[in-house]
Amino acid sequence: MSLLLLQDIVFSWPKQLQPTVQLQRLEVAPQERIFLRGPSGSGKTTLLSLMAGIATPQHGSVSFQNQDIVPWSGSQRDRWRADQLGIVFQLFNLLPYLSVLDNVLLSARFSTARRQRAEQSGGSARQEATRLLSRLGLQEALWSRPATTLSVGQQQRVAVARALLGRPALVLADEPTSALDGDHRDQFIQLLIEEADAAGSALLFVSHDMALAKHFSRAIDLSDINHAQRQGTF
Amino acid sequence: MALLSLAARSLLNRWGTAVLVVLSLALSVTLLLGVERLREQVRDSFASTVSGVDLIVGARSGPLNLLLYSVFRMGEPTANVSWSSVSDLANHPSVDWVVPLSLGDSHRGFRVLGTSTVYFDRYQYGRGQQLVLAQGSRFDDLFDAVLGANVATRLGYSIGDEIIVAHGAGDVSFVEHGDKPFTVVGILAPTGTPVDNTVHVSLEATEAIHADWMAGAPVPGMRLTSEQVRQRDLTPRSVTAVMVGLKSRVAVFQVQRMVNNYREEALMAIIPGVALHQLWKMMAVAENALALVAWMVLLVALVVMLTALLTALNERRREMAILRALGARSWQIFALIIGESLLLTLLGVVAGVLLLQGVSWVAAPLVSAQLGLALSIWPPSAKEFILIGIVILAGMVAGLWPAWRAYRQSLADGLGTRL
Repeated sequence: MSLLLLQDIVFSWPKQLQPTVQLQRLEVAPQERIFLRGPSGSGKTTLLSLMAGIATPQHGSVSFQNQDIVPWSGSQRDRWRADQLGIVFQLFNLLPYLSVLDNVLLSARFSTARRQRAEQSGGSARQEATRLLSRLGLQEALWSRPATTLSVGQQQRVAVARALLGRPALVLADEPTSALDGDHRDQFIQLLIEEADAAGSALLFVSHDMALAKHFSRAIDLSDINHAQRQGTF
Repeated sequence: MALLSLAARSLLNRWGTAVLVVLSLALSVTLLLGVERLREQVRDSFASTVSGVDLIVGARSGPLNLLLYSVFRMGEPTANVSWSSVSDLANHPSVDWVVPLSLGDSHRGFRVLGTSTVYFDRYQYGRGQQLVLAQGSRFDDLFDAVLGANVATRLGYSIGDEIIVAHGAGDVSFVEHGDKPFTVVGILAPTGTPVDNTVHVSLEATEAIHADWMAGAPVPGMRLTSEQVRQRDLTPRSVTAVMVGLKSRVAVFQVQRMVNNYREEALMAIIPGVALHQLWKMMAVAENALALVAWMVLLVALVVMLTALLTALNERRREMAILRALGARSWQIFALIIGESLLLTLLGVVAGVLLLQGVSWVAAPLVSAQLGLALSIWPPSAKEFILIGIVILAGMVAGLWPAWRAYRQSLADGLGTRL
């Protein structure tokens, strides 16, 4: 059984004539580690928006555990995303006006299911958040600091802790390592994979850097599966 | 709840702009409520300046002029009413009582009113409230004076003090009745009317201090001492105006007509309530202009808030994208911005009301001293609550635009950052 299955997708942004994403099939199995290579302009962010249910395709289906989420209402998809997905961006993942710990706890704030799962594994959402932060190598002294006072590498690890809090079914990571140098990059990916394993989450990692593909069980090149013409910033 | 705390913390993060927005809203709320409070209370105060008086009679001029000098002690009377006319009026079968008023002197900027002791019984203000002596008694001796509350507090007088009356109504007078000092025998309780700013003496005393005067100046070579003047006939030759009470209010138009057609002298009678209303209508233009300006200032403050919200929106695209990725619903993004505008408006209203209370607290004694109008500070009127409601509503409506834009933006951006 697949966790997330995209079939016969055609998607174009409003006011654009050419579709940005046009693909036949993309499947993510439970707990799978997928590397998705996508240079800028290949429609990777759009694809991630489709997988996260923020954008819906004009044609085709996006099925989560055999349920098509495309016909759902916007707020149903929002709730589903809050419950089942963890997302890590390339940069600027954290709200500048919240502390490190509060940033991690945001996941539990928007989803009751996530909060309950965090409580099951950690006793309380807070304890689970601090456990994740420690595991990701962020010392207690940093937890109450404003998120923006951390280095980029530290911020990305906080973002991972937030994405993994409450064991989501799938983690989408959009070039989270692009701002890190070589050593840190591999270290970061190791940590990410370890924690995704511990949480039992599938991981879809997007990057343009093929050198990172070695950490993953499966690598897909977006330009092979996306038949839309390359253009624009997506 | 969680959303509101997010909105608050996001706003706190941009506190510099927020403070300026709140400040501009607060100032506009202060102005709006202040203008409203002032016009409400000035109107009330105006209407309640004199009551229980059926007619005011004076030399023929304009009704407003007569009202201003006889009641508000403002401006100058054009001519006097002769004593024989006063007697005629008092003897009219419909007339219950008359209170003659004689103006023209002052004490350190406060008008001196020569009148009879009946004044203290008949003059009423507000809803039929009578004048009450806070200390001492009414004037009895020729050179006794009763002070209004403001005169006593501002000049620091108490019972037994001697005061000197100056000729003329101005603040600064070069001709004083220094040879005939008065003794303070009574101080009136505050009324919030021009009575507070008046020095009351007997009609005979007004006559006495001018006994050795002619045509508005001391007669050269003629000096009468206080003792000598007591021996003379001090029946006044004329007075400035007369307050009239009727046996029955039904006769008011009949007596008014009688006075207006009086053959011996050019006189005029006004009904205080009607004249007050006329005066107020004249001031309504200025009052409305003031209110209009206050609304414009509110509009400007709302535009300031709108500018701040819309500018912040671009910087906050990132914030919205993060929240959307975390599963925030689109309406929550909408609510976040509306919540922010609501929060700013509420803070502005609270600060504005506090500021107004402060200003009123400082200004009330000044207004009372200068205009004889009483400003009450608390509680705010129902109208003020309605205005506050309108301001909050307007703040929310102004927030709709940026909220809608944020909502559209969060849909269009998807997970994209477009930075």
